[in-house]
Amino acid sequence: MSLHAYKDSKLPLVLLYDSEYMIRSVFALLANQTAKASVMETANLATANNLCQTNAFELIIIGMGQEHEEKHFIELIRNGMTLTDKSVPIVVMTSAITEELLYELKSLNVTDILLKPTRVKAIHDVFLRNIN
Amino acid sequence: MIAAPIPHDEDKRLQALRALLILDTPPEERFNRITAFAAFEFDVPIVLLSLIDDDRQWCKSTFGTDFCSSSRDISFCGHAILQDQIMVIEDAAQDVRFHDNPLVIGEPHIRFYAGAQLVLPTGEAVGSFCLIDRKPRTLDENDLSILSTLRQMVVTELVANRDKSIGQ
Repeated sequence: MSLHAYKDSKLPLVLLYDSEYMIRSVFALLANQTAKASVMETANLATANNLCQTNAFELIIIGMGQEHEEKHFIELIRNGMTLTDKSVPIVVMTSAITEELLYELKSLNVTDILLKPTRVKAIHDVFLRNIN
Repeated sequence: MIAAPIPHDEDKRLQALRALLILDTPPEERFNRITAFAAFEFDVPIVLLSLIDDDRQWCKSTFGTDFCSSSRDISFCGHAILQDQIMVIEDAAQDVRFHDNPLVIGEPHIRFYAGAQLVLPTGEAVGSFCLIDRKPRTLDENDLSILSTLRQMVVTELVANRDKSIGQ
């Protein structure tokens, strides 16, 4: 499990779940250095779920795996089964988008979809759009 | 061409660089993944993690080139270590310091350069993490923040190497 948190109660709290170490590390450090957000990041879906049970995030960024098992995690959030507000903006990063997946993500009220490989700058842009 | 000037704390700087025990060591994944990431993030063909020794520039990690070292006086990074801010040369062909530099008029034909100085926690600037393109470019404020973040990751790894060596 990898989890780094730069927690500052005055800043918006963001959860970043993704398998890519560099994406997670660079975005978390960038948000911390520019004092724009506190980012909790993990590559483990169970950890992401646990974090949502104990923290009220203002933005959640999810890197979708091949099996799309993250959809259940999004359902939990949207059904109010976590401490995070069920209307929280959710950004999904995925390496491929089918019509079926697009429909499912839309029905889960996903705010933005980014294609992988994703640049940190693109994540930063959607972060600014959704937080400000 | 204007040769890279020598910093006022050169002896202390070189001492700090050599204490890292990293000069002339083989490539390492922990640095290579940062240079490769930067190349993708900024869409540049060349990225260097360059350290400035007394008379040469030596690269611990490179992306997109076999370039490993050059004399210090022609190095861009020799200039970058003297700047508090990230040194951005949008078009080297238009810059009096670099327009006739051998690295501009010959391989690797540098036109764009952005170098973030690598400053150790003790204050010495030992090198530069730099992006290079063969065409003129600009960086916006967010780009500079991301480059600065990557620079910080490099410094963390450099110091970790030194601290590990001291602990052994």
